[in-house]
Amino acid sequence: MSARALALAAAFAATTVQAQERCDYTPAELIAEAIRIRSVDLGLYAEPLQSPPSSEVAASQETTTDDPVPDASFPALVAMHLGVPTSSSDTGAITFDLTPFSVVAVRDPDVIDKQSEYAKYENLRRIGLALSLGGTGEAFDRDGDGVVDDALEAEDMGDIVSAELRYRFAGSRDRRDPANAKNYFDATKEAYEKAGDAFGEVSRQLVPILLASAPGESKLYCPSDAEKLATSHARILDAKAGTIASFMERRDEVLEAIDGAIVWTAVAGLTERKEDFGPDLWWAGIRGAGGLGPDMGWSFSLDYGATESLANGDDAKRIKAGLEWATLLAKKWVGRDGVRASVSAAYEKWQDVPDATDDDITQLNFKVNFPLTDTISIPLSITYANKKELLQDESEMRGYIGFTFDFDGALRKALLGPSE
Amino acid sequence: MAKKAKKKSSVAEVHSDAGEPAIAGLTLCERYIVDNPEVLSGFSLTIDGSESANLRVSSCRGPVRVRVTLDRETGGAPRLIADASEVTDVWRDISLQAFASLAPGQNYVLIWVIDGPADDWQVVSELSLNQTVHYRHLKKHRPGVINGEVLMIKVRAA
Repeated sequence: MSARALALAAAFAATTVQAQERCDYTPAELIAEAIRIRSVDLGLYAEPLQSPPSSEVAASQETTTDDPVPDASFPALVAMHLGVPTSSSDTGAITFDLTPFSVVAVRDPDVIDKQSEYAKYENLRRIGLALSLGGTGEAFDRDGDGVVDDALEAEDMGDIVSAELRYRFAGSRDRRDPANAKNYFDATKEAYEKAGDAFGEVSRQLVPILLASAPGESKLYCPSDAEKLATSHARILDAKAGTIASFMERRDEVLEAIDGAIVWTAVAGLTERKEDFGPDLWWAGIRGAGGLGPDMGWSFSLDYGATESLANGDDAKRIKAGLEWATLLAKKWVGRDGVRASVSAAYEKWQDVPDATDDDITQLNFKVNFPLTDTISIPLSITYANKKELLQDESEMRGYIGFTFDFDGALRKALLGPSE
Repeated sequence: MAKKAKKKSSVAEVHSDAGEPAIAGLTLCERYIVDNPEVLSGFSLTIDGSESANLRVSSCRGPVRVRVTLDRETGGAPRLIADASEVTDVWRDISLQAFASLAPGQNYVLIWVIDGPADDWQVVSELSLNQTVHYRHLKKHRPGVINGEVLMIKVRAA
């Protein structure tokens, strides 16, 4: 055994394994971790920022006031089955998001694990349904005295029911979709092969030393062993760290492109309200969303719809276009979800609105969402409108602060385990 | 510790054939390891070169590729054994007939690098000699590092 191997053996023998340290590294994992430590020390590679969960369905109908709708998920159907909402908005509405694929996944959870099965349902994952119950109605002249009455808050979940059907007709951000997986493998092939050879060369030199010096029969190592290896065998690791870091960077680049791919979704929806909560309405439209680099993206919506007339006249028709830019801030301090900040604008053009002198309105909105826990966040928003006549509220400038409950993240964690 | 390799087409089938209820919260790969415990053999195998050697891999939660090379401990050009693309839950067999041509008395390092686009892929690897499993391990994706497996292969002197 060489002097270097003896020194390493002595170092491992002297290791006092701390209670909280999980010692489950295989020799390959130990070497990989030591390479990562050297890469970071040499400034070759930094842990990439995690992208926010990608929405498959883009912005919601109310682009100037709501966040992009989260993608419908497997936990959501379980949640609905259990009577647990996936999100509760600051207006008090409870929303369930689900897809037909969720039904398949609940009937056979193994489709999540088996890629051969998962790939078969690519088209089914394009379809989503959002069902929203309760919330706040619309301000309107309820008693016919010519004065607009305040909006009422639903007491029963059935007072206000809203549903939106979505079909993602272009684009995908699912890394497991066959086309995305193939693109990933093709785009990283060269860097992967070079990194594989580099890892082989490092392993060839270090594995004999590690196996000769490893403590115990298991030959499993602790994270602290990786730090020691990075120090004791820096020369061997440094020689190939750049090649492996190049692969990791290429991997991040390609995945970022997939995570931020442009997706287009067609939607159709309706809201039914009991008499005191305002008129019924329906809409149909197109939504788009795309990434603009790490933790940044845009979304677009174009909707046409109509609101029932309460005076037996023609229904008021509306066309609305919205554009939003959003980013995640302060992730170092608040964790991987960060503080979501967004700026959005929307233009609406109305037709057949009785007694209205203006038939269009432009709104600007700034919104910040502070996460408190996995399930609770505080949204803070300011909206400016150039005219007030078509607003449900009386003022051109509105501020809002409230609480949002989102159970989807917690359920996902509970059902699928924490993401590593 | 060596165990007979099972001739099934996927980790899922192995489990369902056992007729046991699904173990809540575990992936198919994890359940497979519950039914068929890991065999690490100290990450070192001694062979005489005449064995029928085979590596088989199967993944959960996403497709992966597996690139297998064999390096002589003393250096030299690595030998590419296989570059298996789009490995899924269906077992992929990789022949290790290269073992038959290894020099007696020499040591080698068998390396298989695993990579896939998903964040939470898992891969079960089984290395068999004459149909007997000498290495079985569940590898889970670790973010921010290159992922792979290594085994020391010692060839008995003639």
